[in-house]
Amino acid sequence: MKDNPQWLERVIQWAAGQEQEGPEGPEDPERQEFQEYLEYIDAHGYMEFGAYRYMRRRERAALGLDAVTEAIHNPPHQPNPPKPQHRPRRRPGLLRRQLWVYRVLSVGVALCLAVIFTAVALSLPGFGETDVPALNEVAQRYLERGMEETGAVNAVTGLILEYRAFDTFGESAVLFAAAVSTALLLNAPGRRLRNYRGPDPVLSTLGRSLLPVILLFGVYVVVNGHLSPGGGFSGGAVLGAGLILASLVLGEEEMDRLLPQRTMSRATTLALLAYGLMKGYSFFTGANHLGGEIPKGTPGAILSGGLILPLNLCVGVIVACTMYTFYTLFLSREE
Amino acid sequence: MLEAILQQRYYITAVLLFTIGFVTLFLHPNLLKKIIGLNLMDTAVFLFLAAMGYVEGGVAPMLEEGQEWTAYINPVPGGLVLTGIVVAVSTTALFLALTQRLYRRYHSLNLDEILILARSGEEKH
Amino acid sequence: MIVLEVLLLAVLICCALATVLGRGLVSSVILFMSYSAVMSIIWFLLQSPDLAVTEAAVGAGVTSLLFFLTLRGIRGRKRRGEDEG
Repeated sequence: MKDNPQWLERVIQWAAGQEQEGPEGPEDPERQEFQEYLEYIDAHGYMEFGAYRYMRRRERAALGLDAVTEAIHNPPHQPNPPKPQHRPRRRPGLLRRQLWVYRVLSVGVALCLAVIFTAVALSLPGFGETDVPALNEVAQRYLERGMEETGAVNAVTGLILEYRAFDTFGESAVLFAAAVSTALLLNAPGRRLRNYRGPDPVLSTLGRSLLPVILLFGVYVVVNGHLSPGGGFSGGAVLGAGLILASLVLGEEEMDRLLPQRTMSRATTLALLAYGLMKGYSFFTGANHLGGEIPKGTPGAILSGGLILPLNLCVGVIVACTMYTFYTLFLSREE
Repeated sequence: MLEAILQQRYYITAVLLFTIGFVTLFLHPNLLKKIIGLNLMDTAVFLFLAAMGYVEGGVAPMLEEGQEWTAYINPVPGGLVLTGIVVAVSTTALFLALTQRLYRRYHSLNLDEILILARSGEEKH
Repeated sequence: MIVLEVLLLAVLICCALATVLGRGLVSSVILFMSYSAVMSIIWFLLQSPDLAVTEAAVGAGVTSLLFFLTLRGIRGRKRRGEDEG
């Protein structure tokens, strides 16, 4: 930050949308041609991209070149000057004029929001004070009678899987819907599996030795969700990350043999159905399911808390399978 | 003034993060950066909620017999944020999938260029 | 304690700014990973250990991995000049 002017210049460039592209900026021939097109319409006025391409092809044909075999990004009649690695991107004049209003307006809105929010944050009741409105009788009820009503030691788990079990069902359904729509968007018919075994033996061995520990920790967090910090969401996330590590270490073919995609989607659907069946009765009886039909057990024992343990298992399966499904879908797309 | 800012440090940080994410979402032309900005806004809201639930000297709500309820932090924001984090990942995955589809069609991650191409009605092959 | 909190929050804001202003996409994603890691420490300071575990697994792990896979998919496609049929 010593070189203030240069740094400031970067920020201004960024805000104007004229940021230079980094080394991994897209560099394919289509894009090169598109850049040339942008510069052309900046100089000569607007023109459809298709028309521009047609014109260029005609030009090349007039020069006696074979338009099919010629590389698009290296037209011989216009020898490419050696371009600098980070040349500033140019924006066509038409778009620049339209975007100017938009950019100024959005900066203005953002600044207004920031000022209003800061004023509100400074006038809120102090951080960490006990007489805040958020700490009302709802939280008091959950904390005072949570253990006898839900049988769970962890009040957060008791809250999301007993008092608010209906909402958690909706959230699990959101996860399921996101996984299904991603699968629809990225569906690759002919998927090739590779047996990628890690870049070098050190990383591979380290991953292999870490894998059981991570999976065991994930299972522990899910199963102990009503007794200690954690639960289906946290443990499911850890399990999903562990499965991804397993796929990286063992290779995709091996993982596809152990846990094929079909099994994953079946497990998710079954877990969602099981959740619905277990909590279904309370959805029909006015969502008042604190009656105590199911024995709560002694708080602190592993078999306690009524339905919280099986519900935690269901949520854990849903979250872990969704995370792993995302990974396999994104992986299969690049082949 | 400085004392007030120090007192409300979590809220102020949440506001700043939210503004950074908001500006990125609206101003950066790259779709991946826009998604990162949206994620920043997500975490800013989570930070605000969790800071709301914190009570000075309170511990995590692992209930014990014979303990006053004021000894714990508020469990309600914790439950909200816990589910929120997981849902945020799934929406991010969905956005990334949509971005990949856009790239397959327009060969660009730059939203301005995509808009030009879409406007000119260019159908590839 | 308050010094540590202010320090962590400052690092959080710096990470967010660097993520957003960074030039390369890969470095942005790596900075976003460190942002999530710092965030999980802050969850721990706010007495929410379940949030800390989730954020560490999800923010620093799964989300960043999905970003990396997207970048790799885009670059792989670029090399072969593949197209939507």
